[in-house]
Amino acid sequence: MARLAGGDREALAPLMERHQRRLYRLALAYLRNADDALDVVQETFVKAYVNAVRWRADREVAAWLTRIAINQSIDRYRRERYRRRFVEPLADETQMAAPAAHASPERAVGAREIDERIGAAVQALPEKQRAVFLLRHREEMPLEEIGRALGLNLGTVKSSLHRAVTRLRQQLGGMRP
Amino acid sequence: MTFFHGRWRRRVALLAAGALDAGEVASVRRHMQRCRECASDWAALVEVWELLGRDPAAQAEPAVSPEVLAGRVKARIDAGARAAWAPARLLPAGLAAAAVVIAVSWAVSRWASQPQPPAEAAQVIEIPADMLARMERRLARESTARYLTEARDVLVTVASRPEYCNRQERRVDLSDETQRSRDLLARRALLVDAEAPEVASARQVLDDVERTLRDVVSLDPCAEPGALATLRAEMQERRLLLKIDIVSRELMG
Repeated sequence: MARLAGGDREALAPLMERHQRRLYRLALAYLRNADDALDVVQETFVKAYVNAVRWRADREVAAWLTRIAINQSIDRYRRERYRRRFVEPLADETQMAAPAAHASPERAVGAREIDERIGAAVQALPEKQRAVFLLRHREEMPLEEIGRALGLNLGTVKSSLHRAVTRLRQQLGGMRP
Repeated sequence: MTFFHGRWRRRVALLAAGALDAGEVASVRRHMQRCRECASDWAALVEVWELLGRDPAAQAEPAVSPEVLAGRVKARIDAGARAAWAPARLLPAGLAAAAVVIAVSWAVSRWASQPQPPAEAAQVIEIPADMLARMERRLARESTARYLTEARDVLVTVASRPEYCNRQERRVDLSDETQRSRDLLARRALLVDAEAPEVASARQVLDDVERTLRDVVSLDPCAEPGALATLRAEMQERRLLLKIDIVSRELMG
């Protein structure tokens, strides 16, 4: 990071090697679109390069990059949501598969259908709940850190996480592979 | 009792998410020993929490190799550095020609590997008039396209669902967007020469954008939902964002 802060672009490569897969999976879990997720990852490292001088040694690099990536994902989601509603109403072919909405959660289901329903259930979460849930579930981030990353107070983080978990249970409860 | 039990249910959900400290964990576990409903809830939530680990996104691999990704990131950094250097963004349209002379002179002097300071190079190198005119036209189109893209970013954020600043009254926080709109309107005269023939195709959209940004500025930074809904409806009716997209692409060629 010190080299990056000094403008050494070659320092990006080891940083990307360590973190790009994790950040891609986080962005993909949030956006459910592979192209958008890739774009977010690229933008995250660009911002990391530009803002490297502001990084403090007492901060973990992984958490810092995660904060950038999740906020980029939220911004991207908001822009694309508006575009899809008002400008381009056609379905996006690169989106992850939509679920079979008629399936009852009580019966045993195939593995593929489970995966699809999991993806759809996460995608159906409101943007704030989705971000809080993913940072907790995927990154195992402490709630205070989640609050700092998203600009939320601890009470809001807790209630968002509670609501997200409750909603996911309503969508997925009783499913067994 | 219902109220307190609701609070327990919230803690049970947070326990399933591993989000409680040691003291709270012990307290919730003691409660679950007495409350079958909460114990059952917890078991179901833990099962769902573990099931969510099967999300396909958690195992996905990027479609491009790390080397390609690194190349793209470097290309974006370079593109950002070039955009920051472009002089017409910062100067009034009338001074853009002078900036172009300096810029072209610098580029030519570097290409010729002559270690001359830009001022001296401008004195000895004659720029063909048609080349200068082409560069001016291109800079005018690019700065207009950049202005429209920035305006579009502000309007998209306004049109999507901003965060609440007053949840009870459902008022939304537009403080950033009203400020950015104000900034863009102030910079429009510097960035865009709407009378220039090379941006003639953009004039109608520029007027629409200016009118809409003024509408955004007139909103309360903690805006009523009705006022925002009216603005959104107007944007949709005029298909303003689509027009901005089309015109920006035309300007960039």
